[in-house]
Amino acid sequence: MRPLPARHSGDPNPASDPVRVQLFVPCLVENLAPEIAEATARVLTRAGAEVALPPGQTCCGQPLYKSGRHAEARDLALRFLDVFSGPDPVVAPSGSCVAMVKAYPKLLAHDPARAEAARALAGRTFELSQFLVDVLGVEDLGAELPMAAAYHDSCQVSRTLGVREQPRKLLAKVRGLDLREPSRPAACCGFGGTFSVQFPEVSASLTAEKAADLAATGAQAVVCAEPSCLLNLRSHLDKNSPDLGIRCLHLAEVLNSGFGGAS
Amino acid sequence: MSDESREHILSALEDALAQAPVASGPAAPAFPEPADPAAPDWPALAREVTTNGGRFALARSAAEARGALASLVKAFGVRRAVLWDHPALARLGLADTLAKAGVEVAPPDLAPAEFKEAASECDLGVTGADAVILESGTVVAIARPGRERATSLFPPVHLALVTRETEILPGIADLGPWLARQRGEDGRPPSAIHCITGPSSTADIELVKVRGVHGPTTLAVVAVEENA
Amino acid sequence: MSRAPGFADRSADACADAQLQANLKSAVLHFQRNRAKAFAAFPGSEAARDLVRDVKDAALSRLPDLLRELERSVTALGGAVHWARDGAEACAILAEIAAEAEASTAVKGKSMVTEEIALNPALEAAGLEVYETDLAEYIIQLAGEPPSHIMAPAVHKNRRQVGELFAKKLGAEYTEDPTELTNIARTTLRRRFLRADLGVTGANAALADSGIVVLVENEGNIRMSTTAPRVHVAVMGIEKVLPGPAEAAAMLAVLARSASGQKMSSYTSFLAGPRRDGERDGAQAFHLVLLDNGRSRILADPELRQTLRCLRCGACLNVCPVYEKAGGHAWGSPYCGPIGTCMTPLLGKGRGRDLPFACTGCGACAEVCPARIDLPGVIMALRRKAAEDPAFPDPAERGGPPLSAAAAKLFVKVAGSPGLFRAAASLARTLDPGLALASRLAPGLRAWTRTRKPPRLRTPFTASWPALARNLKGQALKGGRP
Repeated sequence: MRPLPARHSGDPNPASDPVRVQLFVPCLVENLAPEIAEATARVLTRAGAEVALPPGQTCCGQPLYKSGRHAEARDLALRFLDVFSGPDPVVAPSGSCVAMVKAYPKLLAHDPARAEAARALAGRTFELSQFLVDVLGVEDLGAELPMAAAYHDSCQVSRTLGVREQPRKLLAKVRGLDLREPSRPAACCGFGGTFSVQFPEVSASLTAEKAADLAATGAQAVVCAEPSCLLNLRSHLDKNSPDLGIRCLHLAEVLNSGFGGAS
Repeated sequence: MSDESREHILSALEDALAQAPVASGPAAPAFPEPADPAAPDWPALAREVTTNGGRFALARSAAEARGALASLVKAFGVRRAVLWDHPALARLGLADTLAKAGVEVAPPDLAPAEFKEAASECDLGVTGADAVILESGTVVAIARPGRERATSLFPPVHLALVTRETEILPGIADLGPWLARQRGEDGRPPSAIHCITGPSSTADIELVKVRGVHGPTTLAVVAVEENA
Repeated sequence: MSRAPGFADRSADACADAQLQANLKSAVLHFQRNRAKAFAAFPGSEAARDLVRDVKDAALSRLPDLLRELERSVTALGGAVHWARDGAEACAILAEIAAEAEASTAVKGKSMVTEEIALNPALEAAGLEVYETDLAEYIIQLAGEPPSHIMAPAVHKNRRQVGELFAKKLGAEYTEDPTELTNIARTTLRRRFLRADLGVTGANAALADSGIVVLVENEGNIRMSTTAPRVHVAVMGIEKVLPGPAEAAAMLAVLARSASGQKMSSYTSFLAGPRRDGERDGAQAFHLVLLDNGRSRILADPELRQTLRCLRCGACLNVCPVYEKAGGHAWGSPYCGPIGTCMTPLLGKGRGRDLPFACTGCGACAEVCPARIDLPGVIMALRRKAAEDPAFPDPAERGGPPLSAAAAKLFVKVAGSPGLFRAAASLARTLDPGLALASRLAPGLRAWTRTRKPPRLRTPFTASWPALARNLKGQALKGGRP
């Protein structure tokens, strides 16, 4: 049994006083990839957090917002504020969902009281790797995954949230992991939500391009921190290159690897 | 019709701004501090000019300047040339060099139509440089009577002389204050100021860089240090 | 959700064109590399971009006064200023200028605004021969095609295609060599320059304090068009006026670097009205046509007005994943790429209701915009307008928001109740876990699944949470692994 890695020396909270976090489960993950949420919960626990799942989560409103239906998105934003009204940090294994929450203050600008609450919520909502590295100060989760893997810089994670170094720092500590950079790490995978349905040819072409770039690294796995990119790439690889046997893993799943049992 | 449109447009703009003033940034844009006037930095200029596809030579005397001109004439088989009416060109004795090389120089008193014709048949145009920008290797030419636009544009070879008349500007940002100073006694700026950075070029066909599209194929910059 | 026409059809055609795909990929990577190299070597680049944003915003906040001052300055130089509310008016003004000057031929520099107003057909209808002189514009003029890139309008053509075009249209001997092809164009167009009566250009900026028009190019065709013909007409959008030289220098510090990776373009010209007494070249008459065509409306909208900062450098196109695959023609507008998406619905009568949705939201454009336009933010605002305003921007066009108002309301109802949300997922999981039925029913999903294996609906995470929570508690108590 491998001992847990020592906590970051700058951490003010000793192991006996864990940070409480509220787990925010994107609806894609809830229904199409629940293993990502489980891995996230385990990783956070291992990093010293106490994970709670606020009841009654449904959807942050992103599909509505991105379709231009802002009035309807507002209804879901208000609901979200209530579900996550507790004071503890909110952590999600998704850049796009966190970005949506960061957009709540603007979406609710017409209602100063709610906008203020939204600002407070946005200030304590984090993407997983951001939370682990920047807030908890943890980079080594004790994971092991002897495999060549290529990391995809999802657009919402890398550009919207500015999170590029944190996933790489975490992956660098995964024992046995041979991390490879594709030639265009930040090129969009082409999903873009409803874009992939409205403009399927362009989307498919972009996904194929991205998948080929990742595959060309010789990696056996593709890793990213965004569930929608992950599902997009996995669906593409499963259909077009099943023989390559490339696994598509969420960052949380990689960080949860090597512990046997449920990981 | 134009007056009506003028009023319509201006009032539409005024209404637009009255409705919702532009969000204020800093009180005034933070322009960079003006740089101190630069000493000539020939290696820097040479590097930029050649990176841009031009040729550079340093002439340490009037004789060397004449030599550079003679080499250019020989290299490009120049038979006809058009020159600026510029004190440096006269001082360096360039007309003499051209005469010795059998180059026909466009007479200075041609009427505009004849001048246009003559310039379009020249192989070489020689100008001074009112300024150079060291950061980008740019030569700046101001149009005046006797210092035509076509001289640095029509012929396939353009020779620009950087002399003591040339103001040295360290960077592109310095173009601002310099431009602000270019006013005549009547307060008007010159009719044309051309910032020339390298020969004419395009990459419109398959991104392959081709020099000499509509302007000169060759830009030669000769910096002249005259001690005497 | 019906399949939107317009961008969807044109981009599908583009994706099926292997030659175009190769040309586009090669071009955008080339431009990306050049820009990246120039900015990496430019220590003050972030401050320079901030400055452009501030300079432009300051100018926009004083637009009416600056335009009045510009008019006075140009008039004092002996030039004439004309005001056009829309494209038709601008074309009429130019036709009148040409008629008064008794012009029969015109040479044109590359100018987005002249494409916007469809100037060439209008001048030709007025009896003029009009020659595009920028090499790429010349190529597409011969081919009868619209531009496909703001900076490199013929990027969709390869050397073989250009060679065939020149052989066919100019009677030139067939060659594929870019240098030889360029020389053919140079020789042909040189004659045109020297014989043209009228030179038409756009303007990168006009300086209010002096009346100077700023023109940026690499080929020399704009210098030729403003040196040889006797009349010069510059057409300019009203948003391009700047106070004076300091602002011009701020713009020039980033423009060429953003567009092509050069510190300065081959020629940057500052032209101040017609030639002076004693000068033997340069235009003898100068006209500046100021065009509104929807710009005042854009200025009125606080969310959209930052679009007016645009320098027309093309950097956003070069990093846009959608542009890389769809190519410029997919926009069906002289303005393509991210800025095209923002401007096309707002200029003139406005069109392109589907354009704001033809975006993956990746944000690469905002990363490179030298004027710091929040392009993704503007696009999101346009999506909202497309969904909320039935008159935006062309109600006759199909296409636009992927979710109907009814579907959006239904979504809110279901997602507003955890019970309903769970039930809906449960129903879908029972009936169609592999999304096979959904793929057959919804045309959009059908297209999606043509190239992808759909994921399966799973037992929701929430259902397994109680057991997991107990397990995690045990892990925490033990201080080890679960």
